[in-house]
Amino acid sequence: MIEVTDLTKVYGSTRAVSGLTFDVRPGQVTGFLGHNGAGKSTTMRMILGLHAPTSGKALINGVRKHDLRDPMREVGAMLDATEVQGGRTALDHLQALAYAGGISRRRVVRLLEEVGLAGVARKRIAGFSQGMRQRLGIAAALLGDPGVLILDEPANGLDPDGIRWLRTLLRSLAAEGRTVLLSSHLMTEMSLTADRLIIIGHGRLIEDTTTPELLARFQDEVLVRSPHASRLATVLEAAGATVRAAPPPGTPTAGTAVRAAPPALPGTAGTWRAAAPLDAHTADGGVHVAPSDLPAADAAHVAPPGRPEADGRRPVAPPGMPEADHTVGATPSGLPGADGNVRVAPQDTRGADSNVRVAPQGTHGTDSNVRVAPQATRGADSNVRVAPQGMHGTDGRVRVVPPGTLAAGEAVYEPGGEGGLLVAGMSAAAIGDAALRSGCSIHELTPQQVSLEEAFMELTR
Amino acid sequence: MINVIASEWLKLRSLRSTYYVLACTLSALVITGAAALSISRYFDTRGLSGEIVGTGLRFSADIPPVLFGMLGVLAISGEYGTGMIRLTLTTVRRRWMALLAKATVVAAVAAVGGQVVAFATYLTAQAVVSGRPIGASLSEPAALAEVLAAGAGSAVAAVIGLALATILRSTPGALVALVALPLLPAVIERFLPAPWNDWVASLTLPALTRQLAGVPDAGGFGPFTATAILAGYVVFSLFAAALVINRRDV
Ligand SMILES: Nc1ncnc2c1ncn2[C@@H]1O[C@H](COP(=O)(O)OP(=O)(O)OP(=O)(O)O)[C@@H](O)[C@H]1O
Ligand SMILES: [Mg+2]
Repeated sequence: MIEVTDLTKVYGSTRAVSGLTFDVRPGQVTGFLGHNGAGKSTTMRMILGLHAPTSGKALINGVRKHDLRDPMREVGAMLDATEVQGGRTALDHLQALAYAGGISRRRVVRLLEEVGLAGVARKRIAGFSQGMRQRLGIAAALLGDPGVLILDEPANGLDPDGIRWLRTLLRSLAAEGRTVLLSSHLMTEMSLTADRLIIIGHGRLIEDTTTPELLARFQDEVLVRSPHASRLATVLEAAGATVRAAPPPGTPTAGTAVRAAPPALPGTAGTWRAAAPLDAHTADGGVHVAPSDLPAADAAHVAPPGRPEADGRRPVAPPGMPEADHTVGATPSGLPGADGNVRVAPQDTRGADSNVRVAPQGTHGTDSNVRVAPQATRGADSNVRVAPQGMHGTDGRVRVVPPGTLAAGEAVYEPGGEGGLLVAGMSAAAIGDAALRSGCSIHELTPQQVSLEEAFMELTR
Repeated sequence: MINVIASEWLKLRSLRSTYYVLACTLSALVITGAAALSISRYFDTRGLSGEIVGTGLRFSADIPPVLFGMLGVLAISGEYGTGMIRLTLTTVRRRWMALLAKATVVAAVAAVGGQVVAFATYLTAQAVVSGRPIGASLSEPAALAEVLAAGAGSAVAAVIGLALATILRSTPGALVALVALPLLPAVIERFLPAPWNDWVASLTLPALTRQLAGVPDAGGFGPFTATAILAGYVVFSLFAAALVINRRDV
């Protein structure tokens, strides 16, 4: 248990921490978030008794750090893994700390194994990589098997295995009833690890909440793209929803972190189900969209295959999807009078963004709503490119983007009249039904998957 | 407290700089050896008319305080430099415990090391003198006392070095202070009337070490006063350092 009460720290003219009050409870992982310079490390240093608060207090297990009987067994900390003397071997470093706490050599050896440094235990720390130092720092924090853990950006420099290991470790330590306070700028990791979140800005508390609650607060919107946007907005508002215009595609503010589509919404308008893959090697290497009565066949929602999103994650593909560079064939169904096929194939998988072009295939080109031009007019406004996102599961949704603007699958080509709406207070299925009843077609219907990153940005703006 | 001392002992042992500093103390043997050699040559040509070698310690008396002082400096300045001090101070109940443990360890190492260096210096001098009647024998109480006092002087130097580094928190700063402080009496001395000037000059570590052993003409104090002053140095520097380390943000 850590209790921070009205904690304030002033360095000269800098108010690093200002009237901060929060508790870190046992049995949970508590994430400590804030921009650079928000005061996280300063708060941790005060909890650990390294810096004296200007006012207020910080207690560990009800007492100040100063008054802990057996500090190493009660609190373990890693503030900065680079703060070690490089001349020592990892074993000597840990052993020296262990001596101070009367901790057995067996524990030192076991921890070196656990953090994956057993092989370099007798190597000088000076030769360690950042991740290795980080592991050593974590081992040092765990030495006394403490009930309270304070870790400042422990995941920095860890490889994916290490991050996963750390996450599992921290979660299991919390499950044992320990108190874990952890700061990090890795939002995805934080959302996976932390049960509670304490968000500070300029040394002040902004939010003290649970992770699910915070995410839920920002998650009640559904993105709708429709050529009849304004009419649809009226319909939805009449049905009780709150509607606002969606930011232009490509603005990474709404639900773009994970592009995995939600489970199919059977029978609702605007949901396309994909058919079997077609031959990728068509004569022109292009992609053919054969819409029929579709309001707009350009509704191919797509992200570049295998391309990491801005935050380093890859779009999540549902199981059973074809490889990104395979042909994707989509058959719209569940749409009134839909009988055309949409076939999407990668046009040029060597391209950096693996764009796929969509062109009308032959006879259906007359469809009034299809704003797709032949390939010859490449570069023209109507020449749309589609990158397969790998959504070719049961609900492969398709979105079309203009050429050259396909950044991580965000840019969307919007034929005349189409608009994006962010609808709150209505489920995706209900929106689909409403659209169907009112005769508004829908190109895209995506519940906004708000990441912690976005929620954090929103809160700390 | 024993635990913390064990920890600091391992820390001191596991850094190369400790061994470099200890190796440098061998320079004392070289200096004494060279001095003894030149005096021996003089003796061979002119007989007993000149200076004698004696124990030989006084020729290199300035070396051990500086080097063992440096040992004390490095015992904590490295931790301040890297930030490791934060880790150290989170593991102990009281900050002064870490300081006291470090002081204990460096003082012990310096006492033993200083003693070894003193004996080695003595033996070097006698080897160079090789039977000429200008050396000294440990069977003479005065010579034995002079050699035995060296360990104490080195230990005090180590504690002063540790305290300087704790207060200044910087390796270069503490090293400069360590070298500059003993020069201070020589400067001040000139501006003081007798007997103050003698007393000030007697306050340096090498002088106090010899006064501790009752070496004639070593300074204005007897062994008892010298002991008290040396103890005062230790207490004062540790007290000042403890005050600072307890109060300051790290
Ligand atoms: N020892 C110090 N002396 C003076 N100012 C300091 C000191 N430590 C921190 N600050 C200031 O206090 C503020 C908070 O710094 P702190 O290190 O706590 O931020 P942080 O939230 O940990 O940031 P980051 O995410 O970059 O680690 C900053 O403005 C910083 O400049
Ligand atoms: Mg920080």
